[in-house]
Amino acid sequence: MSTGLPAAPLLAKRRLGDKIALALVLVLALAPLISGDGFSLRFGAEILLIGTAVMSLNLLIGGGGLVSLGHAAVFGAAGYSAAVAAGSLGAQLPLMLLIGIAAGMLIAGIMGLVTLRSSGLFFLVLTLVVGQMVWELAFRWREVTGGADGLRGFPKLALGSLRLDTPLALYLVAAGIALIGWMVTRSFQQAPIGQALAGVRDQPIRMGALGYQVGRIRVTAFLVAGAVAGAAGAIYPFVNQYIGPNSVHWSMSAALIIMAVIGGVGSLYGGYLGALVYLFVQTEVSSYTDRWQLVIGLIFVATVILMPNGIAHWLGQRGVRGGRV
Amino acid sequence: MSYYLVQTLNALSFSVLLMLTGLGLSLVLSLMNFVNLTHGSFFLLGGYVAIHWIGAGAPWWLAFPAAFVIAGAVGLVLDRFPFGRFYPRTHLMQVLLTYGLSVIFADLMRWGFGADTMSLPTPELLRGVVFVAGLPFPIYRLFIIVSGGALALALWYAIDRTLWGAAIRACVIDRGIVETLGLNTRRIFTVGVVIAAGLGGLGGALGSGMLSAYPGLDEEVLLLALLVVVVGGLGSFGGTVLSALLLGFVTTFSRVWLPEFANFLSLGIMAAVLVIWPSGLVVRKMRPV
Amino acid sequence: MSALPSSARTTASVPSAAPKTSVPSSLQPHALLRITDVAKSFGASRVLESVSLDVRAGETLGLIGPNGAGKTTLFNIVTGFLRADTGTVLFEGRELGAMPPPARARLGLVRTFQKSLVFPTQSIRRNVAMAVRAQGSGAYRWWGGRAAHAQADAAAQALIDGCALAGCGDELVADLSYGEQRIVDMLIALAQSPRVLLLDEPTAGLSTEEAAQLLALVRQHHAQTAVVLIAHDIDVVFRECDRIAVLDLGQLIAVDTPEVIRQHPGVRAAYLGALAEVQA
Repeated sequence: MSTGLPAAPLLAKRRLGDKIALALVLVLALAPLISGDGFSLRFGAEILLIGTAVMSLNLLIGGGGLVSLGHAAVFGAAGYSAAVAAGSLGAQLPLMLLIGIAAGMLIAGIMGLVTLRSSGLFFLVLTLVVGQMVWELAFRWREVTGGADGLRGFPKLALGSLRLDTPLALYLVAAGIALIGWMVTRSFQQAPIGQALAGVRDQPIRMGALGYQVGRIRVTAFLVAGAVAGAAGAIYPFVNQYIGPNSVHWSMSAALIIMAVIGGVGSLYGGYLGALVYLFVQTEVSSYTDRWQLVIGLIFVATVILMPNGIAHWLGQRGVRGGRV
Repeated sequence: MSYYLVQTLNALSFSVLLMLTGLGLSLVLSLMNFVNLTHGSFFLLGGYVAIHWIGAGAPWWLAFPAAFVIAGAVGLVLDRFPFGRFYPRTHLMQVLLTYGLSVIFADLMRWGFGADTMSLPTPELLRGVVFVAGLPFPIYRLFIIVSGGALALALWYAIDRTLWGAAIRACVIDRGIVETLGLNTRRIFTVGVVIAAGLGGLGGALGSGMLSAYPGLDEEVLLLALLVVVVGGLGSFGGTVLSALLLGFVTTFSRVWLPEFANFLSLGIMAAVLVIWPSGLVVRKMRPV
Repeated sequence: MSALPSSARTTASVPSAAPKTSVPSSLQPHALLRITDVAKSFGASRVLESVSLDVRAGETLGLIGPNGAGKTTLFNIVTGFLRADTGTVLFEGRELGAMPPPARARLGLVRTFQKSLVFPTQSIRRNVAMAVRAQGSGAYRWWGGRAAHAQADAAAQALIDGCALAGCGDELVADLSYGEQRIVDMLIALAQSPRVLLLDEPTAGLSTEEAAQLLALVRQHHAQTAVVLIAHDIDVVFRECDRIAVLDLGQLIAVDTPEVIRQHPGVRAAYLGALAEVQA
């Protein structure tokens, strides 16, 4: 499925936009630390974790042209796995991360294998279906997942005897995951496999004719995206001590996609900006009116009509108009 | 044995609804390569229209054409803005646009019609049951099977045997050539969108007697419609009919065998079909290289 | 470039008098690629019928025939993009069976396509390096970043510097002309260390000069490589090829040296006009 990426002449603009976006993200990331306010730290942690999930989705969409409508299932399944495991094994940070990464890789790996021969709309619907199968499990398997009510009352995050349940601690953990996730994603994109994935996106037939095992490349991309999303997803339940089936539903997957688009598809940092904008609007609006769903819909529509290339690209354009090339 | 016969009829009535809905979605997708995720919203709107129409005491048999017309009118407006600008865009952008619109519509409908489940005040003629091999079967569902089936047949005839249908089929294959024949393809697109929307609404109106109408139905139906279209294979009337039957039967009998995880099972079966036939059941053969 | 008229069905016949320049089979060099009795139908239309062909090490074999004769279909079958209905393809003595295209490419069975399938958002060097990396073991590494590319980039640059695009490694392929993109397309194929090179109309749409440049590039790397060349320009075919195979309506009506093909009655019937031009 074509993602409408900017044409060759715009690449320079995009690179500049990326740098500006990075600066913006760093500045915004420091804000909650400076204010020290509990709410903004918790909210900031949520943005960082979801932003990391969006970044991993961008690896698939921007890097591979693989538009997955099931990525929330990867993220949410990791969350559920961590929360359930915490109930019986305790919520030690390394264990939670391990379980989350494993769960994320499992679900994502299944999606990658199942969609090996699919492309375009068929790929989209198939990822949607697999994701909804995960949702059905989360929604109906009451004994394990709490069903429609979700999971609460699991132990709080800890590292050894050190409690990590304060807003500041959660924020720092989220920031650490975001940083490591970013390093992994960046390493992937710049390494041979990342180039190969871009090749599969642009010329799948030629890549086969060159001797590349296209299936192996696609599944590897899914596994890496799943690992990164899984690490973020594992900590997500601990931000508000709750996880529910909404985190796994395809509407959440659609939200992740729009966050990627808002930030700029293909931009490494755009995911965080997109998550910030989306979650900020959602929180603000829902405190003023009951009709916040309407506003969410409007965000989608406005983004694709006004800013389909995202903030990072828009920033890049601004930079160029300012005289610098 | 008779229990399975009744379930078969249940599955058939559900399949007919899926087929009508799927045909609308498939028409727009094949004709202008446009993925329309607001299709579920048309279905739900049609349901609400039928329920309120009959509830208001108007002639019941007009409820269905009314749903068609009202849904079609919404489709007409959407074609003007913003669908029209998105026909040449990528599928990703279309998905995001129409998904956003479906969320807006869902909220507007919840606002306008309320959050309660509304059921169709079944007209006198269609009330009650008929006995099939000793077991009761709702007359209304027979009505769905018969009228929906007739409608599908009429649609098939229109697409396959009339000049209008030929124009639409030609546009699907090569829009450019049709333009050189002097036909206004943009207008053909508009007609396509209106008919598709109308079909969605009509399906919802018919279906309201079986599925009722409530917030969230639009999303459920959308997923089913997408499955029908994609599993059937793009651009194929026969494929859509085939996959509607498949999905209808799989869904109904999953509920019989595995009531708790019925959806999990039916989704799994449809996913398996897509894995085995990645381009759907009925594929138009094209040169790979 | 001459547009060849479609021929009437001719019986596949070998000239009765032994042509002066054909080689007795006992002395023929070994066949790198052996196609035996390959047939393919799409529904009711038979695109290839009992095609048998040998490609010998070091030779340039021309594959000509009117549009729709089945040339690209034959390429697709040999390279694994299509399954033949019947028949076998042997590469270096090994039957390929159901082997998928990537595996065949790794064995050295390399092809180009009628369209230039290049990576427009990347530089020329990155385009060629993509092919170089496929040969090595590091193609799927997900660490190493920029350093991991150094070796492949260097090899790519060496290839680029040996042709008309020398020194232009950093230019984006999207900014190149059609002819230059064709060269990049060829460089990508050459970077795959081919043992057999299947070229599908590489000179289509090129000026005479550009076509000559491209074919010179192929000859540069040709020493151990066998080349099968599909082309519609008869001049090019007669000049470049050691042997010519003529395909018409799915049947191989002749395989021989250019001189023999020129006299072949079946081929003359198919290409009467074009050959008369060449002879003049």
